[in-house]
Amino acid sequence: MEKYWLLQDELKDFFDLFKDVKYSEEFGQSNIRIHSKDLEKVFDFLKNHDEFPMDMLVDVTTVDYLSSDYAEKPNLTGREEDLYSETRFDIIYHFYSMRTNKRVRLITSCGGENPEVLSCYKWWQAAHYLEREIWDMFGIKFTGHPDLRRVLMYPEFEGFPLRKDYPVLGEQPRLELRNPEQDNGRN
Amino acid sequence: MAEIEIPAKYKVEEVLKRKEILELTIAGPTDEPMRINLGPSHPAMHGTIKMIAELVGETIVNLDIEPGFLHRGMEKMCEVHNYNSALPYTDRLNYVTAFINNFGYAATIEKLFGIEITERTSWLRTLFSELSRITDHYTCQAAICSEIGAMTPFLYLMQARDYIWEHFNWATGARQTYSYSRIGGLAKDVSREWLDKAKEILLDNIPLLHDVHGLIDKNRIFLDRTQGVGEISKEDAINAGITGPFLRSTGCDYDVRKAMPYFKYDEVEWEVPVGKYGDNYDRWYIRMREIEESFKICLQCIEKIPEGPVNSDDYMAHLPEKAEVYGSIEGLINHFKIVIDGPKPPKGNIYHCVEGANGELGYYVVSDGTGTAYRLHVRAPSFLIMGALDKIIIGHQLADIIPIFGSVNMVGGECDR
Repeated sequence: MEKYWLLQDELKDFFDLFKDVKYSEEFGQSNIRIHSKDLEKVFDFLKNHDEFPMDMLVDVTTVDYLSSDYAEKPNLTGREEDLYSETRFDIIYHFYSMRTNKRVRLITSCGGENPEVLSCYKWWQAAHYLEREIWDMFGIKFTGHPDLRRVLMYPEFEGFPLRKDYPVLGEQPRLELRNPEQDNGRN
Repeated sequence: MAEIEIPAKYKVEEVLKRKEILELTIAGPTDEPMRINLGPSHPAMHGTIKMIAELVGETIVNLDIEPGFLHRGMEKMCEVHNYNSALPYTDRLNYVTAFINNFGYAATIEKLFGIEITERTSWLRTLFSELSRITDHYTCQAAICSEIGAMTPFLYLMQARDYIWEHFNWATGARQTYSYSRIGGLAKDVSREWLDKAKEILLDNIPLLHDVHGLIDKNRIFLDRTQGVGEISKEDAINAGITGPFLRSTGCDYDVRKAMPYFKYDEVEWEVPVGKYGDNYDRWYIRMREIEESFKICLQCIEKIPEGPVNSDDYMAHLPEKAEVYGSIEGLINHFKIVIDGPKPPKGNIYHCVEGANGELGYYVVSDGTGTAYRLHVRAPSFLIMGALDKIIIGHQLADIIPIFGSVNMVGGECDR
């Protein structure tokens, strides 16, 4: 699988341009950790790369590091004050370059009281549902997304189910019967 | 028989005189869009999707697709079950191709552990994946036929699918959700008779495919409903993250089995069928061609499967043989450790993908070194297709929703997870 991932030597121009990225390799796959303020430049760069144009956004997902003693985020151990930690969430992008058959993984962090990152809908339409799902499951806002609503859960759902502080057996209040005139809870 | 007396106020001429009815008929069509709600309790919406369409006349000007009616919190459940216990959840992703999901998940965790699977398992996984893909495409083709009104091919294909499912029953003990894979092997081996019978079933299916081709391919009604309907360009499809037969129908030859060969796909001869226009008809035809290619792969697999063990001798993740457990202290401890703590992979994150029936089925796993995944994310091809579908449907007529939606083969379990 190694030969299908873009490793450091092949992306020299990327590392020349973005000095403060962290790079690591796990299981032959590359992890490129960037700061979320660079996202716009990075998206532009990857989409229009000369040699490896990343024309497909394969996947966007999020990991919540609240309750972990995981080596990558050892400072977050589920304490109350970690709730609004600036590095609580990792957003993971998988890109694929169709012509050269290469993949790359991009990781960025966000957090705080109202976690917010830039949407990549402008570059890849695939982000439409993927980012809506992250908003639905983790409550991370994507600025620039045209239609950020819940997608798998219903609009009245309270909380964000895939956050680590949402209980596995969490219960939701019963809903009033919706008025069909209200357009099924939209607007 | 006495005639039933209709009360005067319900007679047609009386009803038409009522004020609200008069207003309706006089006002006539307006420019204000009309909202139509399709599903989720609509047979063509598979019971899991709701669409709210805004119509002007019969043309759809706006469409809101609401998935999520089958959401079961699979990813959350995988965070509290160990790697072996989470395997049955993958059956319920795309429940028509449970084998592919099983094997994709198992392959991901095997890469995490660094377990090498045996030759026989690798071949058997290829065979089962392809048989599974055939049943999925049969189901999709049958559904689109019946939705358009062709009942005969529907019954032909459903019957053929059932032969294969019954055959799976022989090998695994279940028709649809098998949990047949294990991390590092398979639940059990199959016999030579099973393989011979599988070959017989496949050869029996080939004339049936010809029948379906004959019934549908040049049928005027089918062509009118599918050609030039639901078109998408190659660039748009790639940008929208669409994969699988849908993407290949637009002319792009991306197939995970060719691009990143796993199991034994690089040791069998087959080709990737590619369409041209990306409309419903191309999607239909690509699936028919893929069934043929899957036949080819299956028949080669049956010829080439070597004898040997199915489970790897690396007992990091799967349970040891029963004789070991009862006969040696190491086996017993191994068994207990795997049942109670779960298999413990090294720390790290990994992404691995296989070609599901609808496209690239990816698993992204973050391991924190314990027996349970810290996070498991499924990249479901149907979910991304649903995200792009509204742009494909807008501009078409209301009746076109049914064949377009039928031809993308949305599977609720996978889309909603």
